[in-house]
Amino acid sequence: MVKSPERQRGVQSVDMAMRLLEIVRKDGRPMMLRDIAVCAGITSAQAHTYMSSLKKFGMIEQIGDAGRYALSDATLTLARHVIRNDPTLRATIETARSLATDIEEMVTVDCLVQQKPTVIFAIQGPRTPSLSLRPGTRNRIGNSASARLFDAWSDAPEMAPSLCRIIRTGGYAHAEGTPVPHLASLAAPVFRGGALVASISVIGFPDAMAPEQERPVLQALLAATNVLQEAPA
Amino acid sequence: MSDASEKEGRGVRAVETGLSLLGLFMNNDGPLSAAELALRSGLSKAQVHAYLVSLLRGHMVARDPQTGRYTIGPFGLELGMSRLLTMDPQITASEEALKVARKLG
Repeated sequence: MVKSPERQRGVQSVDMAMRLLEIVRKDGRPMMLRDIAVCAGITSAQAHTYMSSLKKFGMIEQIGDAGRYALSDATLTLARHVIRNDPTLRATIETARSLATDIEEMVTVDCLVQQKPTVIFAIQGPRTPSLSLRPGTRNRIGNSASARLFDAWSDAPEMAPSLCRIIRTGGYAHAEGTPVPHLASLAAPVFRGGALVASISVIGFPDAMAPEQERPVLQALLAATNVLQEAPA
Repeated sequence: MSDASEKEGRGVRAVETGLSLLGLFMNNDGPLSAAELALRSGLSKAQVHAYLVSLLRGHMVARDPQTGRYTIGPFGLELGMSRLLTMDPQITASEEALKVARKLG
């Protein structure tokens, strides 16, 4: 029996370095050294030493005259590595890419990042206006079909049970007037071992996104995600 | 008790060793075993184990329960996604952001 990492001795300074990365990540804006230090409960001098190491490896960069600290490009390499080494996510992105070519609409792939549906891949559609949806964008229940989908399969859904049931039975979610007023979206789930790991969404004009089984966009979306479920792990 | 500067010096070295282990994953296609990490890093298996404990604890590294091998964990994805989100295309070069976003696929 392997002991869980929580109960084993590790390397204290590595624990602290990751805590500092999480502090900077969570804040979302470039931070002053002393604010980082206060959050971590260490002195500014100690924090400076850690930040220097993180900077050296490209995880952190300093911005502006005040030298505030922010996440840097090595974090993108980490994220890319995670996506590339995850067979399900890789297959989902490939499927989303060919779906976008087939239906000529905007297609995104979302997965849960820190428990929130987050766009990890986006292809703009030729017909729809360019949207601010891009990798890293987080979706909320109020603004996207994919967020509704993830909510419907979560342990404690925010939506009414009847809505969750409709989504789970139908195998897709629909949202209209979102993410911008004159557009709509459809999202279908991708499972691994019975758990929802990602979704593919199509975003376009409401008539094309109508949640009716005979509509070509919904059909293409469901066909694409069905192929993913059948693909060997 | 050692003085503060010496302690910090050690802290930095350990952080850099931990980060260089992440670099080994980057330079490899697919997961690595603890033995491979030890071989490539020149650390002892016990040292690698201690670093892995902390990296696993922070979800920076994940262990495949089936193979027992290690790879970059969900915290890596979280950091990268947060980085993308904070790159304001109005301020930073939007071309650059899109290029990076495309590369992620």
